[in-house]
Amino acid sequence: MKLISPEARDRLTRLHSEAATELENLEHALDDVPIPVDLLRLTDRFVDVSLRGEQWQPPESMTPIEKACLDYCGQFMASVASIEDAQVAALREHLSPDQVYLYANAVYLIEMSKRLGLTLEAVLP
Amino acid sequence: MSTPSPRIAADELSFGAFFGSELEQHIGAFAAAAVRARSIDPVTTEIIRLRCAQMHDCRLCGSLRVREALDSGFDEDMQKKIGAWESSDFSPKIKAALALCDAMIIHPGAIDPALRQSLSEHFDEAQIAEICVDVMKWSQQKALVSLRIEPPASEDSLTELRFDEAGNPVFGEALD
Repeated sequence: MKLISPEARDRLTRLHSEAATELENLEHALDDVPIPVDLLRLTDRFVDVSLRGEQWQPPESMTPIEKACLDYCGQFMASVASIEDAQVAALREHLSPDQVYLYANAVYLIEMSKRLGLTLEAVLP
Repeated sequence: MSTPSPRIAADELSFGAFFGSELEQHIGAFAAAAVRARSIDPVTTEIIRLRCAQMHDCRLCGSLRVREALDSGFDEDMQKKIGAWESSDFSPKIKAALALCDAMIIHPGAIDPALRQSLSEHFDEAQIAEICVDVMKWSQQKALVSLRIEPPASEDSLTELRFDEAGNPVFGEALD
């Protein structure tokens, strides 16, 4: 899964090559996380649209696990300290504890990589 | 200060997921690469680290002080100014770094073009990239905070944090 644009990757590679290499390793590692790939792709799209300030158009019908993931992810992005017990409990209804832990790390990676990419595009030539 | 209840108990997690997964190892490798970069001075880096701790409500991160920053002049008066940095007497250079940090954390899709100009007055391109990578690294605890399984912070003292040559964290003694 590619998390930043080619333009942002070029800037990162030119200016912080070690971080660029490790980010690429993280993208490969994300592909192997034992979480349904459709959930990760949905999360990726949701984060990307949200951070760009665009209107999120949810799929016509979302499953309960998709709703739980995007509810958690949205709060993670807006204010991680304000996530409620019920939002994590909703994840736990569909994912094992290990999967919840890995999903939380995946959301961190997806969100902060995209923030990094968008910022590099905005503040560097 | 009360400690929130963990949303996943430690004994519910298998070693292969917690501390052992490939994803976890690569997150650590990214963090170490961020720490090894040294084009930004230690005091500015510490201020950025503590701003991230505030924004993400990471109590452990907020209770740590990096030894190299302390040795370079960081003090608690600086820490107290971070929350209201825009109206503080921080230097224009530190304010530019904090503005970049906040822009990345709050709304990276709508960054004011004036920030680019402000940054270019104080930092070269590699330094700007380093600050951005640092913000990603210092946001690493978000996953743990969201599950309320971040390591507990000391209730009554600050703790020294060092990094080894590879960029891995080494927790030290309580600070006076």
